[in-house]
Amino acid sequence: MDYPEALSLLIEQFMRYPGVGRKTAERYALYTINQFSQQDYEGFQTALKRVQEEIRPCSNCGHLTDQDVCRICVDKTRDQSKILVVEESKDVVVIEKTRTYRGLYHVLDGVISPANGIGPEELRIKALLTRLKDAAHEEVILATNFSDEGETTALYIQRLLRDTDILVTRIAYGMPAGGNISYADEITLNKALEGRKKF
Amino acid sequence: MQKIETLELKHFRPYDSLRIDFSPNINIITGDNAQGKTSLIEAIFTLVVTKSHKTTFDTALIKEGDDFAKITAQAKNGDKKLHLQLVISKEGKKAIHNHIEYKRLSDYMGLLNVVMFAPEDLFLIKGSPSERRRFIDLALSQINRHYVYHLNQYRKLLKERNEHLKRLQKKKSDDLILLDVLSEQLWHYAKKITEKRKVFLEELITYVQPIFKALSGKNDLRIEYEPSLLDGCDKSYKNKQTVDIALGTTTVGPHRDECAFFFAGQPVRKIASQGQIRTLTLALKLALIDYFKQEKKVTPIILLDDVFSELDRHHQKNLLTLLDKKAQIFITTTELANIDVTVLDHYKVIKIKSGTIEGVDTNGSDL
Ligand SMILES: Nc1ncnc2c1ncn2[C@@H]1O[C@H](COP(=O)(O)OP(=O)(O)OP(=O)(O)O)[C@@H](O)[C@H]1O
Ligand SMILES: [Mg+2]
Ligand SMILES: [Zn+2]
Repeated sequence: MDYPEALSLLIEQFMRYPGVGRKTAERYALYTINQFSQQDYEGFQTALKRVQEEIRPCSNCGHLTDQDVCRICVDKTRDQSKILVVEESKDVVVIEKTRTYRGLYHVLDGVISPANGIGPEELRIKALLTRLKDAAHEEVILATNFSDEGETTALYIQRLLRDTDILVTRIAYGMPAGGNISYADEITLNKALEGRKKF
Repeated sequence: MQKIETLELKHFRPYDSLRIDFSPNINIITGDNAQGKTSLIEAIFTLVVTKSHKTTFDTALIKEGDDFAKITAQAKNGDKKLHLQLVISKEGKKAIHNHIEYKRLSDYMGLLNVVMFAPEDLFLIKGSPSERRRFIDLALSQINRHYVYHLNQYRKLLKERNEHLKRLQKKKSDDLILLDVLSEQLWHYAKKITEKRKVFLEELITYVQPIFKALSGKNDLRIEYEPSLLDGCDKSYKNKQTVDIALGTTTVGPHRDECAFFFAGQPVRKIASQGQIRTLTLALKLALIDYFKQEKKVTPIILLDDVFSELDRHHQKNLLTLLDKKAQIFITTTELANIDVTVLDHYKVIKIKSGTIEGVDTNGSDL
């Protein structure tokens, strides 16, 4: 049995999300139809429209922001000597919650994986090198995940900076191997940050 | 003592839905050709090892037209009760032990152990080196949890490196730094795999020798591990870099290892007769059982696909005395008459017809 066209279209939209299969998408779509009030629909539409129009990557660090340069980058009270390199914007949010780290960030927008067609040039690595020309930055802290790809990416950046006088450190294994930064609890993350060492 | 008490199959090979109780001793699975005998013991092997012994394509195990296959067993390892379940679908597989999903298959493997004797074993000697690596990998996966993890990591990184090599070959990239990084990561796992294979084969040989002597009366068998990476030589990948780029693939590493067998100094592949090859494969598998018993202190479940019924009565008896009386054994045969049941103490006969049980019989009376 087929759903009416409009409903099928909505199901297909939900299926674009990672981890959402047809069954879950159907549940979401039916929930929308059965539970949404006029106000809910408007709220949803406005939210979608606003993220599309207002949210963009920071022109400096790549973190998602509604400004040209994000709040962290413009904050001159932050420690300008350190740049912490992460895979995704949500890693920044998680680390910010710990309130331990007061330096700057750089978001790569992914990890190196030739098998998935992602080479270094697809990531924001060049942008990082450009930023590092500013003498204020003395240390790069590599905080990519401890997956193979995360490790490849960290090793790669380390190699690029090997002959510079920038100190390259890697957050320590405070987390299980294969662990994902975004899912780690605060204590683990704090330990990982404290225990970072020369890489 | 490891025993499978009950097995349930859903959409596995020709089986739509099946539930079956086994004897803790000998189970003889009989039926005409292409009825599902091999598939039944393949299911046991797959449940334990999370891989089939016959195919590397997991989806081939799903019954045609269905979305998933499910193998469930109630089993025992000594006094410990185990509930094992493996679900195979197009998205991948899930291994569940006592109702908890094991995110890493390496943590699940080794809960039970099996040794399979199958007609395909002849390729172990005659076939390409990949057959011998497969034998080593399947054995080691059951023995060492870390090995499974390292092997999976190695395969993943090998794929990454090969993809990058292809881009270098086609001049779509000139990034040699990335190649260096991937080589370094690959080397990390290659080293561990090579070391584990070396130790395993050295130990296994000590079990193979006496069995081979008992079966053939000969003492001149030699087994040699020929690793693709030379001992402690972390320059291997670097040395082959130019060749690797030209060919667009990684030409050294555990995926190119070989294990060679010699009779009286001559390579077995080239000189051995069919009978000698059969004896050697039997000795290897029997040695694996001894290895499990001595090194892991477990008696594995033994699966004999067609092999047993192809031996004459004298050799059947010989094999039975070499096999552990306390082990749970599964034997498949088209002709029950081919098996000399008078030498068996307790056994259960299960007759299979087109993916269903046609009859079950314990000790003796005709079907
Ligand atoms: N994925 C699948 N879906 C449906 N049927 C399958 C699938 N895979 C295999 N079969 C069928 O299962 C049947 C049983 O195969 P199996 O090898 O288990 O038989 P067997 O009893 O061991 O035969 P033999 O005596 O020839 O060794 C075959 O007819 C085969 O075509
Ligand atoms: Mg068969
Ligand atoms: Zn910024």
